[in-house]
Amino acid sequence: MSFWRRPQLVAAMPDGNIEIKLSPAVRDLLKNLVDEHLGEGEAGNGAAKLFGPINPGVEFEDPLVLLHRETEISGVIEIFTSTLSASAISAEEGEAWLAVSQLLRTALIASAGIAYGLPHAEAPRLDDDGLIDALGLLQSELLGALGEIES
Amino acid sequence: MAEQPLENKTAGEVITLPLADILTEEETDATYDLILWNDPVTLMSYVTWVLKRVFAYGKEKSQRIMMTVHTEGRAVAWTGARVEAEHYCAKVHGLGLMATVERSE
Repeated sequence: MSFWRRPQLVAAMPDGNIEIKLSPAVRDLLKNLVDEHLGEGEAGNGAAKLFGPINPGVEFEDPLVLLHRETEISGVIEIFTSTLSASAISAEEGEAWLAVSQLLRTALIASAGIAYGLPHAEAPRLDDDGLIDALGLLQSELLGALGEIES
Repeated sequence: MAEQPLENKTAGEVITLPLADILTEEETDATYDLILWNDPVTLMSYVTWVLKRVFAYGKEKSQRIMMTVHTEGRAVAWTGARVEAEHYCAKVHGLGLMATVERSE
């Protein structure tokens, strides 16, 4: 009797690092997605523009808060892109991979025009979006690996 | 050490003002909520992880807030001073979740 097993994308290693088992083609795809959706572009601000105002109730946003947001986002993107070809990454780098996967999913749902704030039962579905699903799978495995390393 | 009066400061010297001198009385007294917003694709386990990571909440509290986001579309993840709420929000955005800050009711 044989069992079909989905290939694992990442795995926790005994030394506390995370093994990355993605093919070069998938890594190229991820790099292109980051460049396309999270890059600076003509409008500037890169991924920060995905989120709009932090405090919509004020006339002027605190520039220090906006700088903080940009620093947070550019920090995880930098870690992700600099480790994209690695065969193993640290847990901290794994957290950056997790964040960038989420930023990409956020960018993809933004381009699909999905609105926020609806209860799950009423929210529209994105049927068969392979990229969003694949990034979710990567996130799920990264969360599993980080949990394994933590315990 | 006592703070020098402003007129004794030299050019280029950094001046630190207490937040209460910058914000109005109404703003310093007010509390602000950090609101997390639902979307149809974000993993529930990821939202829980972010709540644990950013606010150092325990598993149960993180899951309770995540479930409120899931079922009601939004949830208050944190309440406190405006500046802190906004910086927490910047951190949450850095992890890819939609959040905003609004004045508590």
